[in-house]
Amino acid sequence: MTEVGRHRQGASWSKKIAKYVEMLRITVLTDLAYAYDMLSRQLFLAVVMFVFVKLWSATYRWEGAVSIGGYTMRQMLWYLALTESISMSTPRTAADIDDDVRSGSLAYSLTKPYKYPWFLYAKHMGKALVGFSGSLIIAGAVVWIAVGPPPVTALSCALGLLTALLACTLDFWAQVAIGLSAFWIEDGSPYRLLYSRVKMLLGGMLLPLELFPDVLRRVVAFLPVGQIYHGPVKTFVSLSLHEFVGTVAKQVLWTIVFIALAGAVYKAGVRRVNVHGG
Amino acid sequence: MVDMATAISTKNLTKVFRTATKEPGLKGSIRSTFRPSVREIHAVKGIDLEVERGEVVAFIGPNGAGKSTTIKMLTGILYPTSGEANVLGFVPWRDRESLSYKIGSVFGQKSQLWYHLPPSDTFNLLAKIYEMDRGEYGKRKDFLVQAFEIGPFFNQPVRKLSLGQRMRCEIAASLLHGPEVIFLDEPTIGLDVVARQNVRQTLKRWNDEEKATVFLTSHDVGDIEYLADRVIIINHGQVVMDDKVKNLKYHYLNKKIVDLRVSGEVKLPALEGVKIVKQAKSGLKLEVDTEVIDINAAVSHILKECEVQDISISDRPLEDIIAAIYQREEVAP
Repeated sequence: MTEVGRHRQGASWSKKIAKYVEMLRITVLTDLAYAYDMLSRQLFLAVVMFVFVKLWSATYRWEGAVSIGGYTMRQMLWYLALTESISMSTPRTAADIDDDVRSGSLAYSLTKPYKYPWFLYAKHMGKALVGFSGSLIIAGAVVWIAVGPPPVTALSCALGLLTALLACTLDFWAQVAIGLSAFWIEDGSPYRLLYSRVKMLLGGMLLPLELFPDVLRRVVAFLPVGQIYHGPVKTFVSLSLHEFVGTVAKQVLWTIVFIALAGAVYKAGVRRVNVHGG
Repeated sequence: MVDMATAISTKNLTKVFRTATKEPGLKGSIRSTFRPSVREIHAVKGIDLEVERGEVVAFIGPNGAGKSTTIKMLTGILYPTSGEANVLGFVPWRDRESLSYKIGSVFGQKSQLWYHLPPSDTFNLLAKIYEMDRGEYGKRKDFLVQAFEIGPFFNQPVRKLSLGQRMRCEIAASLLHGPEVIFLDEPTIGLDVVARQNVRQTLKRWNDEEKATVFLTSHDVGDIEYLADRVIIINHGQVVMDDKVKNLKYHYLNKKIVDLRVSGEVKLPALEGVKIVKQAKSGLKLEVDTEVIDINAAVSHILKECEVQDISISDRPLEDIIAAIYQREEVAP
């Protein structure tokens, strides 16, 4: 028997968490290995933001209003810069899981002492961190030139970051639940597409929820998709403590729902792992 | 109750895969949508195994024999359809996490190294995954880097390494946490002759020092000859032979195949222990019985007699050995 080959199950919580932090770090390192490629891919975002700047400038001029739906033009354009950056940098974790299930990579991960979903969570957050930073540099530069610095305060930034973290977590668990359906269904891409489109159209990526028809706004404001773009971004650019508390409560609630759902799907699915001989 | 000297044991271990099948054509597609037909593949059929601690066992068989499925059940990846297994006192599929600290695995077709980062980063990650202390990790890493001679490329991105270098890193990474049992599933697959030999030598050197239990699958008989003490041959999901490697060598690995490409017509004089298997215009295939004549002596003789353009020496294919085992069993009372 080897000297170090002993059971380390009694290791401290800090060691148990450290493995996921290291996973996040290594994901950041991997994504940074191609930072220039990533930035050049996101140059398209500059074009999108330029179009938004022109479109909203014309709209505000045409309306002759200082604010639309409670947003000044500066708030509106920074709102869009942030939602577009989130959209561009959201990791495709559901597709990765689908691939892991079908290729057998998930099966191989079972021989390591970590929890697959939490490992993916660390990876998701690492990818989101690098991707979002890159996107925001591009989108933010265009909007800054057009309308000046972001309308934020230290408090709105701190609380906005908290809701952004929760939004990313919520989105991750929703994607896990969708991705793990690969254990049962032949092709998960329609479900992934449906989720991403609903998130984009109803989640406030293209328009703040305040500009939606009243009934739709009320419904979406409660649904998980309303907490991924609109919730955190509104906190950044137009902080209301009352809305912030509501957003956090809904984010936590929906995250718990998706963790429970993903946990049940994972538990049932892992028995179906099929990897044929090599 | 499991004997403390036993590292791996299985009893009637069975795995049946159920695969959906689709009939050809539009009609078939529609029919299978509403009434899918399922085909059962009996990958492993009631295997009984006992492996002692410290043993180096080669678990071999042709493609589709069930060896990888067995290894996946022993490492906890797959649930068996029926039967029992015990690895170091754990039921692999039930006690996955506890067992994972005590075993290591290398799946030749599945890398655990991060492709765009140097092996050193994967080692750091694995040290955290296995919750190793900093001092323990440092010592272990130094030992493995030296034993596997991976120092010169330890800080180069994996994508820039050759297959052989990558596999040495892969194996070293799987040994980082000091596993008591290591499962090597086709560790030399896809490697050229030199890289294959290098990996074998490194593994041998490491195990001479650590004396861990090694469970190796391969369909390369060279791996077995070089590394293992005992060989278990599996075919169609069943064990067809479980014996010492020296007995396998004596009975079945005593013949080498020599393929020659020659210029001009060849008239090879008869030589005891050398049999012509196939002869073509510019090619010759010989079978050399190494019990009768040394392979070096046979090759020297051949080189003297004909103008050789190319030569290759290989073991008998595993399929031939298995066929010979069946024949021997049929002949034996």
